[in-house]
Amino acid sequence: MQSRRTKFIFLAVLALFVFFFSSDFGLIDVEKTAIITAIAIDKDNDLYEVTAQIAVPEATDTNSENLKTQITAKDTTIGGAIKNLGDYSGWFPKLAFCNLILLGDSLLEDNVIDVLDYFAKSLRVQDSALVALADGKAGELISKATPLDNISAFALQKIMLKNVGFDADIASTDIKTFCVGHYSLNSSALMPIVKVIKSSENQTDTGGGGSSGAGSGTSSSGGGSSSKEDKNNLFDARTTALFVKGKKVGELSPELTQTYSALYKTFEGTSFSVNDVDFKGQKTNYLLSVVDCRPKIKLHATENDLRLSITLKLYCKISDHSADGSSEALSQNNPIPEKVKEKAEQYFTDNINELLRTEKQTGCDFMQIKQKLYRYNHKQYSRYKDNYLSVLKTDVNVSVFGQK
Amino acid sequence: MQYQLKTRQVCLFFIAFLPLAKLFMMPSVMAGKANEDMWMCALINLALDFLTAFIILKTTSKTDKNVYQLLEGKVGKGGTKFIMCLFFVYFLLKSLLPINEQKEYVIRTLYTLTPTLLYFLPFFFVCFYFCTKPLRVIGRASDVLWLITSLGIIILLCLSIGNFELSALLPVGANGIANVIEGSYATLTWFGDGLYLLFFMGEFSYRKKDNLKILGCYLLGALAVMVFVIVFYCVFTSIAFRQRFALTEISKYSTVINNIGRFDYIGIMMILFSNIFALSIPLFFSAKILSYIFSIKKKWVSPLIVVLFHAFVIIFLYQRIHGIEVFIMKFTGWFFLLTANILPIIICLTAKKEKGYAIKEN
Repeated sequence: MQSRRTKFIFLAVLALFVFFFSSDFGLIDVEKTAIITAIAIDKDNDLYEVTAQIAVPEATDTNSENLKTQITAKDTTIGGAIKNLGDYSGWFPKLAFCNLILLGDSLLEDNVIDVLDYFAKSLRVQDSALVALADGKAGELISKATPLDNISAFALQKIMLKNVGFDADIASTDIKTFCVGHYSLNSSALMPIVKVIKSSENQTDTGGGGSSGAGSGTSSSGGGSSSKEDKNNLFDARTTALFVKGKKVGELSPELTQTYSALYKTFEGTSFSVNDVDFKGQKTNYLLSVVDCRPKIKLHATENDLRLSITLKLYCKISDHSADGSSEALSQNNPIPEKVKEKAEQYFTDNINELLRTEKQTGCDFMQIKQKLYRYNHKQYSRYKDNYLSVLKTDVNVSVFGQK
Repeated sequence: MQYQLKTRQVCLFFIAFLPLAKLFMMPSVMAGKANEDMWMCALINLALDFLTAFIILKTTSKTDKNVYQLLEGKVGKGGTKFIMCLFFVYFLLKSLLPINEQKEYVIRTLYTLTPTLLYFLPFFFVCFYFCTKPLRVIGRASDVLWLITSLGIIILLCLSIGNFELSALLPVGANGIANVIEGSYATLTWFGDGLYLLFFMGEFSYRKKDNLKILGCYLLGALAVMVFVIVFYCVFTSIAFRQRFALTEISKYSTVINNIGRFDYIGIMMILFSNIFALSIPLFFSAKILSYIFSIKKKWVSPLIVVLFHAFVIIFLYQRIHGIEVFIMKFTGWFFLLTANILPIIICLTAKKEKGYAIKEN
């Protein structure tokens, strides 16, 4: 009896092994795998044109640079175009490492969610992949050579996905966040616009030259110049595109994008300029860096009134100033002069008011006012849900603090 | 009297197995019905099961009999077999969706290409082996797996906690009671864990205050479900209803994951491992009930029948699985409520205290 049981168990285990080792565990030969690092999507007539940037693994000890290749395919659906990529190349398009989806401006005629929904629903792509809008054709932008990295997608990711402590000047978003915004009550979402700038142009760009400007004189793309003529492309993603129901309705300038980041993202470590501060007839420029940022956005709704209170408290330090003959070192905790604080406060107040104006003009509720109405003032939701932007009153209060 | 289980094992059973099947598709179904009020759906179902467990434990304190002996004493052998038929169908249906979820999860997310269905076949071998064992096997599995389940859930929750927005749950009750009840009704197939206590009755030595220990552990398992459901909605808000595999989805937006890679799969694998046994438990009881109904003596016959039934549905009816899902969620809620909650409560409330029976002191 015992022997029969042992035989049965032995055969059962053997059968298990047969099932288990009868295939290749679903693994794909690396030689036949295309590791897609980014996808650029454009629309050509009624066809989606998908360009995949593919990292090519190569065993070598002489070349330290990442090797890449690009393939383009078309179809009536995004999934079909990606399938065609595999059919044309013989590679299996592996999207698990695809961290960037770049949309061309030809898609703006249609609803962009038609494109992004594929990536949001498919389990083959991480929906934490970044999404951006190209200023022009996405396929061309992604093929631009840049001195930052041999694979332009990696360079773009460096610009868009900054760690805390870097300048928060880009409204970076991923597939999930865009879809959450799109399917929320206000159907509003945003994504950065990527523009190509020549590195030589970048070096001479001195910004708007206003009384104060966000990051004037430098591009968010950073990086130096390259000696190679074809590699002098840098990227700027500080402008933000606004969407309502998947359609682009407006843009936020770099200054407004930075102020938006102060209200809704981690802003600590960001620097901003306060220029032309008049001290006894002498114009001085200051660079302040934000040590602590405390935004508070509250919506109060009553039967007669809908009021949005925005309070922004910024604790800053002086990073640089162009004073002549100053005896104070920057490493000291110097108090910020009153005039500088006033000018900085005015700069952020004006920008917040401009953000609210843009929200009303475009109808894109990127400040999530309708959501606040629904969540925190639900009793008044039905009263204001259709006209909240037109009846909204605002109080903006910005305080800039420094060492006392 | 030789007991099959220890009180400790009954306690750990709820920590090890109660949350598991609820971490895959169930949260998205609730979100689809009740949006930000989905946590209320889970709360209602967990409260129902808690009430069932409470009443069963009350009866356990009055008698040493197991459920078969208890029913035979009241409704005779024929009546008992009829009631057991209902429980048999219940356990058979209860495990159908969770097994399919685990299969789909493994095939769709762990493999790049779609593998053949044979990849999931080893599960049925393990399940068959598990079902041929006596009740002791559940106690021993609980002893081992509670830690693995807890660690898996803790890893996933820790990774997701930074990405959630608690205000997403506001306003409370805005979706209306009808939607909340609909969400509860549609997800009854994933609950009904209180019923297991009916089959543990008389199989462990009930001592004073054991009810507090067992119900406390039930609450721990229920708390894990509630926290998971809340975190899930707070991470996905308006698109929560589309996230079919909540388990993989909630943790991947963590900054650590972005920088280091998907090490959250360690937690996911732990949960998948424990879930193999959690999925086998309803089949275990349906096999035991089948043996009782038809007085089958060979211990491998009933397990083979129930396992083959599930294997047939999963392997040969996979093209109709969507229809089966809709059918179970839409039309069988009343049956789950009747067999997992109402029937056990009636059985227990009509049970009388056994003459001369006294609860043992600790």
